[in-house]
Amino acid sequence: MIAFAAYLALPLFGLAILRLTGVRTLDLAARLALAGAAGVLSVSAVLSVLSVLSIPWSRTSVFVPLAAIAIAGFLLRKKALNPPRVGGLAAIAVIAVLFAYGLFTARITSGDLHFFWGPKSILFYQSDGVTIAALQSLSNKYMNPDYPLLLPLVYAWSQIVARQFSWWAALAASGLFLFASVMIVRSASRDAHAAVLMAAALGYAVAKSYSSGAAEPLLLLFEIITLCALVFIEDERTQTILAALGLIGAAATKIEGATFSTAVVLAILIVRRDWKLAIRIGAPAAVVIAGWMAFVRGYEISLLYTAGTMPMFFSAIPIALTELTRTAGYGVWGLPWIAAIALIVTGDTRRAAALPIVVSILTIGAAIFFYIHMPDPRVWIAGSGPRVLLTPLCALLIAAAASHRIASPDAAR
Amino acid sequence: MSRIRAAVAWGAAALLTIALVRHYAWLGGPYFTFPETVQDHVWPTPFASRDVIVLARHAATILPRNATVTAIEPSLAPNYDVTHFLTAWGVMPHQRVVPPKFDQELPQFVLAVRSDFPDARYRLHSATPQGKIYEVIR
Repeated sequence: MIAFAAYLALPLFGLAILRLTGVRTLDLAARLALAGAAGVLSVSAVLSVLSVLSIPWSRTSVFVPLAAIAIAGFLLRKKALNPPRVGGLAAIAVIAVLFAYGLFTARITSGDLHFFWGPKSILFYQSDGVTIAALQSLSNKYMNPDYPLLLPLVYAWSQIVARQFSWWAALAASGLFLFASVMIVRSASRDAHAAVLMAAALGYAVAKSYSSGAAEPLLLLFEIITLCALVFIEDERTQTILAALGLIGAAATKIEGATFSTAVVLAILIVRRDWKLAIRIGAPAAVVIAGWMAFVRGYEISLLYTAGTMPMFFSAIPIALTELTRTAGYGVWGLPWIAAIALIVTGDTRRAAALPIVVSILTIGAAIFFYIHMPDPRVWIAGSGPRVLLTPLCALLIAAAASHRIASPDAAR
Repeated sequence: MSRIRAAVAWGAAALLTIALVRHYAWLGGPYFTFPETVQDHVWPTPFASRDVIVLARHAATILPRNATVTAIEPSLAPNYDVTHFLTAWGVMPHQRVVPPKFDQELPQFVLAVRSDFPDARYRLHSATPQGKIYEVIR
């Protein structure tokens, strides 16, 4: 319970985000979700800075700066601006309970939780920080040593609070991240129909792809924040800050987050032709990606960031396309995609939907690009495809929400 | 148009929710018992990693602190699945869980799931329903 309480406490360290005008117009659940995401970044930043300064992690060394952040955030926050009421909450709650059932009966756990995400966070916790010795240790060589560290840091935070790693709390955190994402879409889009579809589609696809406990739910949270900011938030300052924070979070969570960040920047350039916005939003994430790449290369723990330099096999394109199409079906003939496209087609505006649609297409293209670095990627796609496709699916579902113009704040009741 | 949109969204959501329930049912029971590990029902037949978790959890309580340990499925020799040792790594924080390499310094203990580990350099230490623990012969 204490381990799970650590995840529930994350919004305390992101309260400052409630100062933003665009955030103040959202409902309580979405504001808590955004504060939680900002809290993830705050906690990870504190743990990273302590590691860089060679200050061992302890409750004192971690709690003191985080308490200061929480107090500052509490003082900086501003009251909500009469957020509109949006329907669909009961249906989303039913889906969330069903998803939680899958989590707590151990039906949708990612193997990667036990294979490296959990062990890696335990390694850092035992080492009192992200030390070079830990990163270069023999065990870490088997734990995808160059994967970005955000999720292990969040799991380490829970261990610092509870003094032990809880596998069940890690699973529960996945549910929190996933349904926090849905609540952000619901409030930002004010489209109850699309939000319910997103809950059902992502709940099913995440379960079917066995992503719980792995990095995908956290990755999706940051990706959804970025896209929702760009598509639904009108206040320019809020849009820029949220989108930039979302990209930082995505890039620090998974290598796929770097691909997503690139896709978002390209989509802004293609759809909006606004290179200043692209730089403002993309630059912080680019710094994170470049910094991490330089670090892993400098300490010779880089494996995956050099994969792009491997030879390409154009003969693998038909195999990749066929296998990805089959994988995208998720065992229900591609219903999540079909439903999202149907909502876009039946929507009354498609302008706002253009950006997430381009992101969806670009991230699918990036997946194909990586998969054709093997002469026969069938096994690779079967193993990773369902999880990799969550990002383009999520972008398409946001496009579906964006394709409907809400006439008034109460229209979606 | 708005009604069609609502019908599409809610209809698809209902179908996906039913598909989720169907997926849970396909994985099999028991349906209302708290599982022993987070891997218990991810497939209709339990994965070997599930057995590793249970065996490693038991081994963590009986093996000495700082002892070197590895975890394997002996039938996969010589290409052992390294995820088994990683799984044990996360469950045995007080022992030194090492990769399954038997051509270098031998691990003091071997957790063998699903089958026996017939290696002359090791003797049986203890057995559980999930597998056996072997100890190196000095």
